Amino acid sequence: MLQVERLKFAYDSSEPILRNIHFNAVPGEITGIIGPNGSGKSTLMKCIAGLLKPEGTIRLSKDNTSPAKKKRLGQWVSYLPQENSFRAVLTVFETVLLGRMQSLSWRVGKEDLTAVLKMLETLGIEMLASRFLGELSGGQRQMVWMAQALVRQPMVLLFDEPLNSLDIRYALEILDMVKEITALKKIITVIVLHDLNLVGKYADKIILLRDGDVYSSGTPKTVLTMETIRSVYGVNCKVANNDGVLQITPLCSIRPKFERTAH
Amino acid sequence: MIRMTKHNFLMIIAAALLIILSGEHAAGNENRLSHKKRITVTDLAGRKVSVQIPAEKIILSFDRHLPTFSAIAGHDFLEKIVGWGKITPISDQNIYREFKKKYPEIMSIPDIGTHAKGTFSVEKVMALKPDLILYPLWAVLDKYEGITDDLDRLEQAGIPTVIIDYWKDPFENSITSTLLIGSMLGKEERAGEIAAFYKDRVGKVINRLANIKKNKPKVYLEGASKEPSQYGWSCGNAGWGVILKKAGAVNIAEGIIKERGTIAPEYLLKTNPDIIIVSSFGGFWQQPDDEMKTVLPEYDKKPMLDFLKAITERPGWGHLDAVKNGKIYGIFDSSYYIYNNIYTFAVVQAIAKWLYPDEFKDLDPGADLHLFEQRFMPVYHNDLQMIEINR
Amino acid sequence: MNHRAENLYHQITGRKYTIVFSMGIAAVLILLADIAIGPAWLSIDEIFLAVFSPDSVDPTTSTIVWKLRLPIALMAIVVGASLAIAGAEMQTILGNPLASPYTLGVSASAGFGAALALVAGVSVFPSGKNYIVPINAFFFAMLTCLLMYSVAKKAKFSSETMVLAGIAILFLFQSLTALLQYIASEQQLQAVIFWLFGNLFRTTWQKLGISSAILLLTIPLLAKDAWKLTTLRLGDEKAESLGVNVERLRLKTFVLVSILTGAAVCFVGTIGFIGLAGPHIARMLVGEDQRFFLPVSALTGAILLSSASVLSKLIVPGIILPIGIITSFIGVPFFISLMFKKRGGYW
Repeated sequence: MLQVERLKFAYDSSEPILRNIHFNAVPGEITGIIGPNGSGKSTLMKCIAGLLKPEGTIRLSKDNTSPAKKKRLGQWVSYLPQENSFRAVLTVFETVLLGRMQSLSWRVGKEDLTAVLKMLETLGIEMLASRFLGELSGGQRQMVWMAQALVRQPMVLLFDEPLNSLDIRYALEILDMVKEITALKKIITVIVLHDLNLVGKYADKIILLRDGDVYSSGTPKTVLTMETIRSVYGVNCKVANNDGVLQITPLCSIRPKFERTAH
Repeated sequence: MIRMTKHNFLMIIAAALLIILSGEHAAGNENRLSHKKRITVTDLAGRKVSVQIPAEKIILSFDRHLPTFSAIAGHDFLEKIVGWGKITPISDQNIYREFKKKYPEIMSIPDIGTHAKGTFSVEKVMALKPDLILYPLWAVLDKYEGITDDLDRLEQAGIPTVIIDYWKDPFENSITSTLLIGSMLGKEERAGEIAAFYKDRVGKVINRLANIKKNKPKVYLEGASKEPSQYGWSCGNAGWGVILKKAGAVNIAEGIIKERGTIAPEYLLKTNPDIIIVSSFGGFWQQPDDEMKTVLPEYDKKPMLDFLKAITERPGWGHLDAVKNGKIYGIFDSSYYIYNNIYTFAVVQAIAKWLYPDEFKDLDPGADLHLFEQRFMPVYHNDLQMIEINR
Repeated sequence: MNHRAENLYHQITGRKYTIVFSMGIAAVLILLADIAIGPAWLSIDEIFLAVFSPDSVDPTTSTIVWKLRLPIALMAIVVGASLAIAGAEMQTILGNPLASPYTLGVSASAGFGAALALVAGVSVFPSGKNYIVPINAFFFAMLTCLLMYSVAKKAKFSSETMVLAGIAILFLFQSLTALLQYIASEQQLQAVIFWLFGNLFRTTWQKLGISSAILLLTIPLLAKDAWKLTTLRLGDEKAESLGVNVERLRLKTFVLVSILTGAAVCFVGTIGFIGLAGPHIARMLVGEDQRFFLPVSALTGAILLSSASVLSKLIVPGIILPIGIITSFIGVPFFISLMFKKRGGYW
């Protein structure tokens, strides 16, 4: 289980970005993180990934008994940032192979090669293996990053906006994949998403952030309500429940235009 | 680099004739100094330039022309130089030291800058209102940045630039240049005497060489411009190259280097020259293994000898005939005192003597140089800085 | 499963091994040509004899082979490889396709250091007489590397800032060198210009030894980090999350590369094109898996400089032509043709 407690973070002496974050994430489940721009979603992800050094505790424990040592937290976490540079002249195979950094040596071992191929096949991109990153479409590239993140066999998967600029087919394909692998491999998946409908559909649990605090958390049904959306995003919307799937239809912004400029 | 073509040479001869003719014409007017007139001369680059004679305010684009100019202009040479291009610190060496001792005023001659360093100032030249500016041919051939534009600008401003040459062809051109300068200064007679002296002294060598039936020795002449371990430049068909030829040598750089360049070390080793001559101008590198300091040659021969010895330490030089036989000579020539100036005749004599010691036993380049200085120069140089390694 | 994965991998790397191997052969052939060609036109047997039994040939031949051709030809290989590796790793750690010893002002500052020694006789360290110029050049090269690194760090490794800072430093040192040339005597001026042109003729076995030792010490240290360096190209965050200590890797590599650059330029002067083009050509050939990128960069650099050395002897036989001038003649056409041939980006 991933336990986040009293998490605080500020860059140098500026306003804190994360004030006091608490949440738990469980293996086999997708935890969706939502919130307006600037609410601290990406910062939170970087803290968990070990890229930033926050105050508070982030604890990772296998079956709640043996906490993984903090130092080695990164080893169990795969983090997929929002922006991924694809300017490196590398083939898909090589790129995914880099996910196995920890075990790579000058001569690449058989286990590593096998793991890479397996992962490519799982994601259905083995035919791209010898193509270069620069030759791929955005969706294909996202698949490659996913493969790279998963090939490490992590305990925790962190995805920061993995659907950026993807068409709806790829978006769904990727989320389906994430869902499947999360359940299958008992991975703790934490995913930042902007699309409330997709979060409602795929997340088992949602953390709604506002100004560096957890505004609300729980199942999609408890978090994604007209009231919370209205007070956090400042948007009027309609929330419908179609056979257990939430459908959120944004209606209008509640702030009139002149007020927005004054803000 | 622009190359001199053969037809340029013909033009120069034509120019010389023209100058002599116009000179004779001007000679008639010599006593009426106030009477100025305009003539057209053809300079050493083949350009036609209209000049008011006698020219009284002259700019030397390079201060190293001082000895030549003072020889031709005579006792009042200093009054005629209204500006020059200083190249520090060469201007502060032996011959200049002599000039400075006798004429401390040379220190206050205005500096017009030099194309060699990109500091030449057309404005400064114009402010000095010269009748004439003398420019060396090598500077034009070397295509210093902006030089053609500046020459055009000066022409438009009505300041005649006359190109002279003591380098590209240190014999015909040197004589032509001397006569040309003389005619523009109204010193035809003196210039004629200098030219005759020059011709005569070079002639001593050439006439005797015609009767020597020996094989010509192979000579490598290097302008030492770097530390002793690094090869300096050599001349093909200009400067030293022409001098070597006149002195009866086979110049090993000929055919390899057109005007100036550095020959490849292994080419030299393979050619195995009979004689090696090192020239240095404006200082030379001090120590065998010291890569940086240059010292200005004074009359002391010790550092020069050290330099010659250091050069023989180069890889493979121990096997060269010239080194084995001790046939290494040095001409340490500050301020282009000897090379690229009016004294080249002495160098030809010296080299001829090194090449054919028996045939030219009676030749005394030092004495001839001394005689020249007595007759034409305002100052004397103490010593001919030519030395040889004695093994 | 096992088998298929290996096949796929060999399919990808096989071509790269072929390239490494054939470039290795090409480098050796050009090295041999460089030793065989020269104004003295020695026959192959003579050279062979001179190399393996120097006493059996006449002393001039053995001097030509042992004192002139061998050290210079080997120096071309070592310096070419050093510059290309330095360029490759600068591009990698700064994430900048324009990074190279020349464009970051390292060569210009080395030139200034050399000029300072040649003109003003100023030595930054007390040193043996033979090494004042190279040590000055080396010192200023390192100084600039350090300066560029701190600029890069401050600017968070943004490409634009780096290139601007590099050009600014380039200009600064060029101006300083020009200033020295202004106060120089003509003789010193010639020595400075000669230095700035880049030239292999100053090579001695001792200098070759120093440059090679540094190259040979640097290569394994860089190779050890091959995978980490490859990862760096995916972005700092990605590399960090894959367990790479980005900051430390960058600093370590930068120090290595600075020393490598310094050791190359301080003996031969300014040779501009190789540090930039070598790595790009390598990238087009084998991509950026550093296990291939590193050796192919080195080989490309070595081949470029070595062929420049051969060409400089063929253009005007018998004279010394500064190799720095020739290098671009060789590299640019090849470089441009590769750029047009390959689809997609290289950076």
